[in-house]
Amino acid sequence: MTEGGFRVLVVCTGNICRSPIAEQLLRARTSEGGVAFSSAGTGATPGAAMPGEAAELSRAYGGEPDGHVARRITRALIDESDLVLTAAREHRGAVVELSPRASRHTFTILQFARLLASVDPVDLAAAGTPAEVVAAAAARRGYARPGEDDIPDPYRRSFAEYQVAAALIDDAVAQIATALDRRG
Amino acid sequence: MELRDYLRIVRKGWILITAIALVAIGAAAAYSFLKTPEYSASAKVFVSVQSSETVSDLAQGNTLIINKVKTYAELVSTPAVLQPVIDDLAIEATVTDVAKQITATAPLDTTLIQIDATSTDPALAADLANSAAQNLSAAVAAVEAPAVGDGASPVRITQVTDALVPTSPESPNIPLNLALGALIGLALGLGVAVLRETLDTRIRGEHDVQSVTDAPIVGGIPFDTKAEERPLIVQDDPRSIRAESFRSLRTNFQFLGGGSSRRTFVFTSAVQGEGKTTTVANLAIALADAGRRVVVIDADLRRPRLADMLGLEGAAGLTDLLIGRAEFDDLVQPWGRGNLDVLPAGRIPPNPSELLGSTAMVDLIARLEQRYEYVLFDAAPLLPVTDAAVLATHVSGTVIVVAAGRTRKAQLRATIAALENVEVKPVGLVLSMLPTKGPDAYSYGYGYGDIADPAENPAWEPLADTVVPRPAEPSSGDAAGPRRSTAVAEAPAPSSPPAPVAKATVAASAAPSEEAAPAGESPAASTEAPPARSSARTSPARKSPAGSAPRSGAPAGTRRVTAKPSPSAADEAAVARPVKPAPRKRPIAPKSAVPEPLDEDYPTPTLFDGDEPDGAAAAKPAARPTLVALRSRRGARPSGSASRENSR
Repeated sequence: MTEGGFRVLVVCTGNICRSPIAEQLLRARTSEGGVAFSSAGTGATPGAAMPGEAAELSRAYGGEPDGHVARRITRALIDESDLVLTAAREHRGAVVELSPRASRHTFTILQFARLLASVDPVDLAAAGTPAEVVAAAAARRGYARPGEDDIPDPYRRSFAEYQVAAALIDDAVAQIATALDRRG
Repeated sequence: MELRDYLRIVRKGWILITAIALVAIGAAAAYSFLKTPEYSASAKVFVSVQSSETVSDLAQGNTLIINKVKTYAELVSTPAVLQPVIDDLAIEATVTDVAKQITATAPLDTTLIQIDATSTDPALAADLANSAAQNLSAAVAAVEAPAVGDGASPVRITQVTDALVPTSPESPNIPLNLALGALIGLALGLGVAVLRETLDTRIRGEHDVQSVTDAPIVGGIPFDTKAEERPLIVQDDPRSIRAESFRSLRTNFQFLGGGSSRRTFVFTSAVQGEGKTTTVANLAIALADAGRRVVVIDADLRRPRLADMLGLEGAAGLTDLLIGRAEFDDLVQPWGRGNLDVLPAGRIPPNPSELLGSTAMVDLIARLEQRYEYVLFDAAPLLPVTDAAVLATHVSGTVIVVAAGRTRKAQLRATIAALENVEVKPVGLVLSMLPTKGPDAYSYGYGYGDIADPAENPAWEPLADTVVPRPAEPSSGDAAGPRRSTAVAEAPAPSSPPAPVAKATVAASAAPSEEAAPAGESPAASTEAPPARSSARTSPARKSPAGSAPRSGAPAGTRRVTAKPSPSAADEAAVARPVKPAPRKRPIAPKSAVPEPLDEDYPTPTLFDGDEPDGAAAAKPAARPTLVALRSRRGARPSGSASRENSR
């Protein structure tokens, strides 16, 4: 674990829709001062702001979208994170290509939630730190039934598509936040 | 082809054969029912010479008749007879038509003529026969009448049998037709089945593989329609027969590679889609379950599938390592509970063959062999690309996965030839996608109804492999077969000192005193043997059950019986396998920790005994050459393993 507590990096393409929503919802649902959350995009335009739909949905689900600016992912950002959550598999691949070692703690958001759900509750209860939670989830890869891993990109699409993406994020984040928060 | 082959073909094609036979019978039945029934009636006439003269005249006349009776019979089919018949019966038919209905025959050496008439109308048939008989009489009288004078013909024709109206049709003969149909159908079906077998160039089962190569079949994986959804069957459904087949494969794998300590295998196949990745992944999981340190590497740098199958991110992997972009420790991903590491393929490079043949690859293999007990490569298919052949030269064994019902014999032949080009002989073949029914069915397992679940009963899983020595298993004794095993066999519990046992065994076996020493030494020597084996590098968990009491897991329990310190068992075994007094004085084995290699005449039997429950099943495929030997020696085996186990 890096200095200063457990760090989670959320990654999507533009760092204006999916990853900021997930970051903000995670932050809103975990106790303050515990796990640190940030986000970045594989193809982000640095400085870009969240589209109105994304900000609105984030707020609707309890997030705090104000002040978010997009930034581009770097190897340093990955290396200082203890858990990398991505919107889709393409981002997971991109992260691992940038920093191969990250493969052990890089998941898509939906994948991580699914893995957590498949962890034996006893094992989950025994995990004392977020790092142990991640390890327990990682060990379930290949065991857990495969499912949909990707959150579709709503950018420049209808509001309905934003809603679909936000609902997916909301579901997964609820699970992830619960698992991480207790140890944060 | 042998008779056995035909039987196999019949077994395989019985549906086809039955179908064709049924169709033929059906056709015969249809023909019989559709055909208008025909009736047949017959009349007989007697031909004689009118003569009241002398006996000699009579004799002459008779000779004349016998000569002529055939001619009279022919007369029946002439208009001279037929026209009057038509007129008499007032039927609308031509002479030609009626000629087809009436036949006359003269049985040899008689003066009888039989007239048969057939018709669809039974009454008409009788009328035709009778009318023909009468008209024959008239016709003969006419033709035989003396040319001069008005004397009557000397030949007289008398009807002796009147044709009766037939009650049942002459044809069709339904039973005969059906029997003929069945016979022809069966013959035809058999022919088609043989033809199909001859023309079928695909590999269907063990039989076909043997016709191509003498490489042993080390495993048979039954077909699973759900294999796509749940490829990791060992994980998903450990009790299934398919999972069992992978455990059998695991068992056999411990003996591949001869005496070499290297356990590096590359899996390839003729073409893609034969089940390489599934086989490698499941085997790796099975090995890891048994406590082995395993690394599985996706060396299919063209269509990597391993990471996906195992649920890992495959963006970085082998290629990054080979081009020096990242370190192995950064790239390798642990999987599951810790014994299995996975190295995905990484980005797809433009030059896979060169990368796989590079010195970096050779170095990597050497490093991995230091670190892992098993190094498994999932390689690209061999016929389209050469990658696997390149890799094959660097590993200790190449395994060809053959999909039953898909791979063609020629493809397998070409695959083996491609390996031969680089002077590699496959160490074994795995038959995948075997049918679960029929003559080529998966037959390598017993299909335990209740296989102990490793999760529930961790005891037997680890034990499974701990007791299996390598083929060139170090042993304190030298050649002389039976004795040593017996002595070691009934080894005591770890607590018992070796001496009494040696004594007991000697007493029971009445072995010469020279026997005693090696016998007594064996447990001691084997105490030291295990560390020399790779299995020594195992997790503590694996060792614990060794000396413990039998658990609920039935197979494990049974096996462990031999390990229990039981003097009576010792005696029993000794009696059951009387020890042949050593005919020669064997040099006593060195008592040093350095064990001698096992004798040559005792090469691999350890393979299948004392192993996990599926060991027995596993014996079947791989043991082709040694199976007989195994069976005859089986008795001696578990005990030897047991002592080793105990001595831990």
